[in-house]
Amino acid sequence: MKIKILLAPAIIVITIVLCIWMVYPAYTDGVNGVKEKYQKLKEQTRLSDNLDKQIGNVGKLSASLKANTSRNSVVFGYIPQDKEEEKIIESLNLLAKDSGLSVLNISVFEMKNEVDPNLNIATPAVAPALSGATSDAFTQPIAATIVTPRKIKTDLVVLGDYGGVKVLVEKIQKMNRFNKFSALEIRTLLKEDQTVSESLSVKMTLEFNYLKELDKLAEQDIDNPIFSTGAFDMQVIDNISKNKSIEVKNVLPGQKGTANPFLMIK
Amino acid sequence: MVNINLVTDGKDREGIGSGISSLAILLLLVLGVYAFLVFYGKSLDKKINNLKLEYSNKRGSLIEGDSKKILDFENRLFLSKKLLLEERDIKQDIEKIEGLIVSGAYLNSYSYDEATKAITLDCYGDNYEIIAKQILSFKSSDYFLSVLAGETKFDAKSNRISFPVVLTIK
Repeated sequence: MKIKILLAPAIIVITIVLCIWMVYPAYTDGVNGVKEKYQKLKEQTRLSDNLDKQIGNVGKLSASLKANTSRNSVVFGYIPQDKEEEKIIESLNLLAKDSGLSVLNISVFEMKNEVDPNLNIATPAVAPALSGATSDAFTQPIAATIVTPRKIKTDLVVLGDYGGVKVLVEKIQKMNRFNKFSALEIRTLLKEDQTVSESLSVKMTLEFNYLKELDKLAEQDIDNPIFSTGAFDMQVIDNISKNKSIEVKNVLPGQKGTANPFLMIK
Repeated sequence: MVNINLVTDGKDREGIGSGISSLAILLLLVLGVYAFLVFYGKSLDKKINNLKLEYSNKRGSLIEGDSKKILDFENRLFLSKKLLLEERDIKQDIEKIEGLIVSGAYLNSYSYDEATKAITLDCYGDNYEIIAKQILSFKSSDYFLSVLAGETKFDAKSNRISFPVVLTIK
């Protein structure tokens, strides 16, 4: 009878202790309880769903690229994949000639690559919806991919009249490859009798660029917003086509091979 | 002598017995809940791990596929948008200057620097009145942020006065 009387409070105490020390922590301990695991499962399911959507978008985007090859070439012309300095030289030479100017010098140099902080590809600082191969990764900030084109500095020195210089400047600006005037110097020339000549000496420092094709994707590249949106913003292609109508000339290789490379082939 | 009967009757014994049974059921229930939580937790772990593995494999396949070409094109579109805005109309600068030159003045040199967005002009004028008019002409244009005139020099060869002007473009 005495044991029976003690058993009741003992069971109550054991039940309370079990609830506090075992059952409740098994439900939630802030890290690894069932409640937290359920949240993790929900998050992981959401990540998987987003990834499925991204995979679907890759298919759509890939089809769009294949369907619009000629239109897309405008962008590859504006920022080429290779240096193509021979095309720069050929185009500037032809444009100067067409403008009635004499070319004194065309020099092309590749500039040291600087990381432009403004050229970060728009990746969210924290991408909860898309990132994370691990369950904890969705709280990790993602390093934005930085894409920086290589710059090519080109010096062009020409002689000619003022009208021709203006025409050349306009034509260079209308070239369908990106170019920017870093500097422009126009000077008058003196004739033998020390009077001012109509001919001007012009030195243009131009910046061209190119962007190598991506070697391979980095892990964080998958989180680029393009894979979530599933559509390219093609507006810029229309803007390039509208404002940049002068095509960069292809260079024809001409005759090759000689018995003596120290003698000019005529 | 008073008799005290300490023996409980059958009803009390039954009451205690049923109370203990209820408590025992409660204890078993708590143990049952605990066992359920443990097993459910393990099941969740398994599901999470499977999803992670699947996620990781899918990500891997995404990196290997056409994504490279897509991202390369997207990068070019993004850069093109930015670079188009960077291009300045240099011909417009020249034409602005052209329209602001006063009679009796002319340019000896024109120098534009993209880094400072400044045009440095080396001008010549017949006399100081023309120099003053020329500076005023540049200042009257809202195309420039600032107009800075420099030191004037008399050029004996041309019998004219040279004066530098630095124009900062807005």
